[in-house]
Amino acid sequence: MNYVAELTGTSIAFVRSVYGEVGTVGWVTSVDTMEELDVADAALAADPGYLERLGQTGEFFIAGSSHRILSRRLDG
Amino acid sequence: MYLFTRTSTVEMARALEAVEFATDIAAYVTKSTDLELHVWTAAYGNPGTLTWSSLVESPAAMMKTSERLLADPEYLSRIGEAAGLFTSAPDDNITQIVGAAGPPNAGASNFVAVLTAGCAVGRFAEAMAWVSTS
Repeated sequence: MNYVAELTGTSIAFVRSVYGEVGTVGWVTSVDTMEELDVADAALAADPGYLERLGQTGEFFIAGSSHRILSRRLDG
Repeated sequence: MYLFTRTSTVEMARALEAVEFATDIAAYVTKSTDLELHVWTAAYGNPGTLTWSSLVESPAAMMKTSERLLADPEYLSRIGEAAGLFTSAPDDNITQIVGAAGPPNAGASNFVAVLTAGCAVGRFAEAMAWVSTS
């Protein structure tokens, strides 16, 4: 989380489920424009350190359980 | 701090009405409780869903707010107007914000990307430790 936030300059929160799907954790990245997210994704995809860290996650998470969504705020 | 979310799937034939209801009820709840409710539509990942979210002090505090709302005739009347706007019962979740990194948010942002994963059985503690150090 700290590594990605430093690399991309985005705000990230790490959360764990309390009520809902048990044993689920999540990373919430907040941005004001889609372009910021595109730039962050490109930086991550090209960073060997991130890819190496990503490779370590297989031990801790259920294969195929990861899911990513993008939501747009409607109020305000 | 905790994050409360409520997600419902929109009846697509009445999508505009559903969005109007979602933003109106969020404004009402924000005005009449201590919650600051935001409304989100899934752009990618779960199309056709709307999510309400609010930071809450604790699950117990959220319960007290829910009880106050369920005793509010105006709120119940407004909820009744949602009949037919959604295809299923809402799905509620409460998550704990374990940590944060990067620049602090000045209010709600316009977009959020949410990556979730299920921890392997027996590896939850290691997963949490990996996240906190990576």
